[in-house]
Amino acid sequence: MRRHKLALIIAAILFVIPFFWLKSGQMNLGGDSGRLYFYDPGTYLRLHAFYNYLESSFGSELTYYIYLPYFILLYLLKLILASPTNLISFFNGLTLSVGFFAVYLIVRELLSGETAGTKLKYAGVSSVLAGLFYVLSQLSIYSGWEKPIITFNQVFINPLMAWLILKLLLTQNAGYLAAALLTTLAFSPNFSAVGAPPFFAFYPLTVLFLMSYTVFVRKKAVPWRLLGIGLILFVLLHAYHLANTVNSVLSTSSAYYHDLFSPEGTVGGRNPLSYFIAVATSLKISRIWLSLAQFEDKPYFVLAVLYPLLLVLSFIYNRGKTLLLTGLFFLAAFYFASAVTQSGFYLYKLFFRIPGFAIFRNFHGQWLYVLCFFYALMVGLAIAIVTSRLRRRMARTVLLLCAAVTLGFSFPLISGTVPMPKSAETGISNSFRMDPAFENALQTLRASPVDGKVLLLPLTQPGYQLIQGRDGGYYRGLPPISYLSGKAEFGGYETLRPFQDIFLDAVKNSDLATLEKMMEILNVRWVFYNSDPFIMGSQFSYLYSYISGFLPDNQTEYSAFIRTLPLTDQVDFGTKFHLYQLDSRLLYPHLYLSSGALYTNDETSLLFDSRFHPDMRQAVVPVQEARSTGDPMVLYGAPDDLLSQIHDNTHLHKHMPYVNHPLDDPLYPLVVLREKFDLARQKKDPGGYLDYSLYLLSKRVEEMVHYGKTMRVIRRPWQEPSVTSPATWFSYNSWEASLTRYADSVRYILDWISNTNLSDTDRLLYRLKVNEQLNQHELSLWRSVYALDIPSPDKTYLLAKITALFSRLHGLVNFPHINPDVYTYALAPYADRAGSYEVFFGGRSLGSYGQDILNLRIGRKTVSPVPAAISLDSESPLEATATLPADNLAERAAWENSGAVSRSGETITLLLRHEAGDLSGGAMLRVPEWSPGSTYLISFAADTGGRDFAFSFVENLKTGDTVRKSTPQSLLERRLYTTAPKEYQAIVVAETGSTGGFVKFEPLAQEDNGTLSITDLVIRKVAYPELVFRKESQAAGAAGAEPDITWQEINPTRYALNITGAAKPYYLVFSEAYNANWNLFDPTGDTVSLKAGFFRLAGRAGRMLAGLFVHSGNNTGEVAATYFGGRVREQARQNIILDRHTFDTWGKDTVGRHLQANGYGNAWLVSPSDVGGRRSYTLILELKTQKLFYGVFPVSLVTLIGLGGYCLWLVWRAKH
Amino acid sequence: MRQLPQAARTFLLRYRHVVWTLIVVIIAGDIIAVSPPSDLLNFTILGLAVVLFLFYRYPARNFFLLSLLPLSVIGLLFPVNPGAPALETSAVWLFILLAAGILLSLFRGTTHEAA
Repeated sequence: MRRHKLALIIAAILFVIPFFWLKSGQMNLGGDSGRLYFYDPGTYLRLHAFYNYLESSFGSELTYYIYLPYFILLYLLKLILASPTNLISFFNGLTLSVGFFAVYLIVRELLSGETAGTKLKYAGVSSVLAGLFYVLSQLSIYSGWEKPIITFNQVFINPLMAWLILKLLLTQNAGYLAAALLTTLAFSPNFSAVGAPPFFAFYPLTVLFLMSYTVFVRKKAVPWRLLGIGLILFVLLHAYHLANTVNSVLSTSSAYYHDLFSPEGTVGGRNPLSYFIAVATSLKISRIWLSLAQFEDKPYFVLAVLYPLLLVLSFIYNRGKTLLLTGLFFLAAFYFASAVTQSGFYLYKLFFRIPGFAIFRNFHGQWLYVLCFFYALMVGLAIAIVTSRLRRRMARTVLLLCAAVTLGFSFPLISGTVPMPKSAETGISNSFRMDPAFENALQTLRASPVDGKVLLLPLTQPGYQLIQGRDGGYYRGLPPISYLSGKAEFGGYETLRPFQDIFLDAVKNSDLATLEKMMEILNVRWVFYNSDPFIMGSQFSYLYSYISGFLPDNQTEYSAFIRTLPLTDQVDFGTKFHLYQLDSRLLYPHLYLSSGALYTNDETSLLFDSRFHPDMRQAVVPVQEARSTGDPMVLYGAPDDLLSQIHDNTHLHKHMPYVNHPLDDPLYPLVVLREKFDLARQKKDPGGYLDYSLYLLSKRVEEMVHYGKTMRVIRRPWQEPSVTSPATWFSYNSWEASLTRYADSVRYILDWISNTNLSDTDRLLYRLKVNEQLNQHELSLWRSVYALDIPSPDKTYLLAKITALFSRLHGLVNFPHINPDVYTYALAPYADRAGSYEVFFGGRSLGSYGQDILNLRIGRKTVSPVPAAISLDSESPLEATATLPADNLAERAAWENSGAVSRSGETITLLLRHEAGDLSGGAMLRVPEWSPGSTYLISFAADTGGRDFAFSFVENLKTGDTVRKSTPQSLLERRLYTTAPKEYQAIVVAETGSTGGFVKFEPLAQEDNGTLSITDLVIRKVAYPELVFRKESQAAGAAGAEPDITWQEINPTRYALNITGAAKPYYLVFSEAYNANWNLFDPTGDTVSLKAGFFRLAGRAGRMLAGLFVHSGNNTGEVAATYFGGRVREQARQNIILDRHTFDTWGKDTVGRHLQANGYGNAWLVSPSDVGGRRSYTLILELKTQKLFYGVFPVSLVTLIGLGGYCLWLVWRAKH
Repeated sequence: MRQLPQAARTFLLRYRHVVWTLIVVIIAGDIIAVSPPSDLLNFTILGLAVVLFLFYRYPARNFFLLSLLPLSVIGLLFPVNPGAPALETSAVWLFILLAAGILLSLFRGTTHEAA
């Protein structure tokens, strides 16, 4: 102990420092993990830690019992430490002190094994400096201290485990193994699926290093038997959560399976490979060498060059193997944290083909602590080796310098600035004291015996909840409402998926009927409103960015909005927090019965369509689940033409290529070769290939724009250089060459589009993109040449050449004219679709139109005119074409701006003036009834009389500026040049943040006026009238009244249901996210199979054991709420983790056919035959995977007891 | 090395300092002039350096002396222009020189070997 005196003192100081970061009562909570377990670990234990399910928004299967030992640890510590502040400070102190001390011990051990060369006089101090480097270097400080996620404990757990494993390998003392195993259990999140990335980043490499060190440096054998026993004990100890993880990985429908085994680069919106590339290409390797954070660039940080300098010097002076071995693993960690070198980067990309490697998409962040660990070991070894070769005075100077640099740069952490930051602009801290009024609100919700959900307002984009602290500071993170009150919540735009856009539109359009329906379907019972103006301040605008275009964007508007909602029973908590209950007529229970279901191919539309779905209790089920042609169906025709496929303006995308090689550069031929090579690599991905082809086209134009002045005008045809004529290899520097290459590329792209295996719609979309690029390029080139300072004959020649070229190319593209009056739909065939359907179009019965507006093609048969009721079969695809005069918005708009407008019949003549600069010239036509997010089709025929004009479409985008509220953005611009009337069309999508848009015509860079004639100007908002086919139920109705249900939530994974009077089939609807693991059991029905028999036996054993340890509790079954005139009764919810009835479903029959319903939820079709003809019975609704926990937990418990007993025996043996 | 013509061997042995100066200048030139770092160039120069190193039979630890060059560039350039492309090239050189040095040391042992 005396040997480690200095290190122990420093560790103690490091442990105490974090206690000065927070004032009494303050907490730094929030972020992606929420960290609310520090605030109330007891509630986390009670509500979440034993279950495989999280009740938040629609609910999700989540192995929360991974955290069970950790939450127990937090709970016990909080009993001792008394406050969340102390608990947080305790763990911060543990991170610093144990992280430091563990690295110190490892370096000390490595140095003590160093026998080669000079004696290392300063081993102790070097080890201390290594430990300080590990916890206080810039790499470490800026890697997660601000809002630590639950696996942040890796900072001290990893080196501690490394030290224990090292001692185990060197001493073969099983006590170290036991200590390591118990550590893994106490901090179980770090050794579970949740901590998979840091686990797999650290342990394989580190264990390999420690084994190599043991064998090659210390010349000892690896105790394989002990390690094998350790691995088995680890698996048994963590079996309670590993079993579920393995089960999930092997289940093809699970998210784990999808993430691990999907093809490289394809998973989800955050494509792992793209994420990796984005991070890797922005990393600065030099910062890593200097152990700096990526953003640090102040000159004084150059002092950190001391560390790599010591490293290099130590290699020069080194005589032993320890440094070399450690250096090798250090460089391996360096590579994994940085993907250094080009070949290293390409190799890293190949790793993403390995199943599971996608967990390292944020590779730098996940490998950083591994790098930090090995860098610290290297620093310790380097300091010891270098100082041992110096004279005493010089050695001490070096040691002092290292200490000064390390401690000097660590001030932001030691002072608390980094872990407890304040906003630079507002000075507001993100540490806060909980507002007692909010605690009261949580308590009120927690105490309610009714199972219902909470709508949180103001709604945020990601679903974070924002709460101001009692005296400054704020919480921003996972909603405490669901994590601490046990009531699921909808707090964000993302949490309302798949109804998020319907909700936004309903609020924006004050569509109360839709909002009410939504709250019924979502099982919303309460609205919790935080009226604090602070949470909608400008510093939080990023939380409301997109949705502010739809929802109220300040508290005054929110208060007014709340008043329009059907809410009652307002309860205020302080002045800022208000809890309302939904009007009782709108209250829907979590579970209810429905006598019927409607089958549809568009659940989201039908759910809120009161014409076809007037009874919200009727379950809406996907048409694929229909079982007979007698099932009632409502089928929606899907828009099926080019316009319906355009949802954003990617077809108008402007490439911005970078050109840095003039066309007469000797290296330019290599550029051409490189482009061909890069293009060929995209061949597997048609979308990527087209985008890159268009990018290269833009590059040709940019070269002409950039280097046009120095390019020659050779006035003769140009040919592509060939390998056999070297004289042509450097002949690119002419206008003819560039224009010819451009034209050849366009022809090649069009041939590729024609010959590639694409759908007709995709082919058309690709041609549209090419067409729009031609429009952009033509205008860009024309302007560039017009402004060029070259002789007039050359300019005239080039302008004529450009005009002719693009006229030819547009002819090749030959993009078809879209008829603005025609709407096309498709309806796929479905099994059991056959039957007689009423047809509705645009919200009305077809018969009410009084004219033929619809044509149908069913398979090969054409139906025209279409009657109000038609027969459909189950096999034939259906195409429908409707012709309705377009609502021409242009007719309701007036021309503005400069110039004169005259009309003659359908022809509009514009006399226009060009103005240089922004938008003051030409004539504008504002689009009336502007609708953000909508697609607009603009059609017209123009005759420019041989002069040049520009046509553009501009939208106004909302800014955050209070003075200049919007800014114009040009969506498209094209050149108009004709000598006879010519048709033009453009398709634009109004951005969601736009407030208006207009079309504009003006002369193109001419000083005098110009006359432009326009006919048939149509501006049409692309809005498809609904086409609906409805089939009434053909099944004979079963006799008998509807059944009643009384149900009770036993815990989040289990519900008990009593059904009475079920004489006919019914649908049981459960308003949680659809999950095939929700099963409906009949506890009286034994499944006949060997496996089921085994489970029944296990269930009996479990019941017996549970009876010994758990008493039955006081579940009185009191009725907490009734619905639908008493037909549905809800008993007070419980939270029973384990009792004698927990095993009632083991080895029992499942009943009913499980369906998805209502766009997100679950439904079961239960018939009397499913329950042996009974009319009254009890069913259990249970999440099947929760059973794994009950089955496997005893294994972990027994292993823990055995291990604990062994540790006590070791202690007793040591004492005696 | 034994297959090299005697004249070439004599030349290389006689002008070893010139050869090493050239290597250092080429590395320095790559750091300063080539952006972004090119693996083809880097590994070609590295390969040449390793071959010469083995030819001259220097102690493995002497290879680490080369690492001082990119390290010096980092130390001198960072306070002046922290965004300079040469910094990143130096960082890559530091990595590959250290890696080559460690591998050389591990394979050849840590004993001194005279030229």
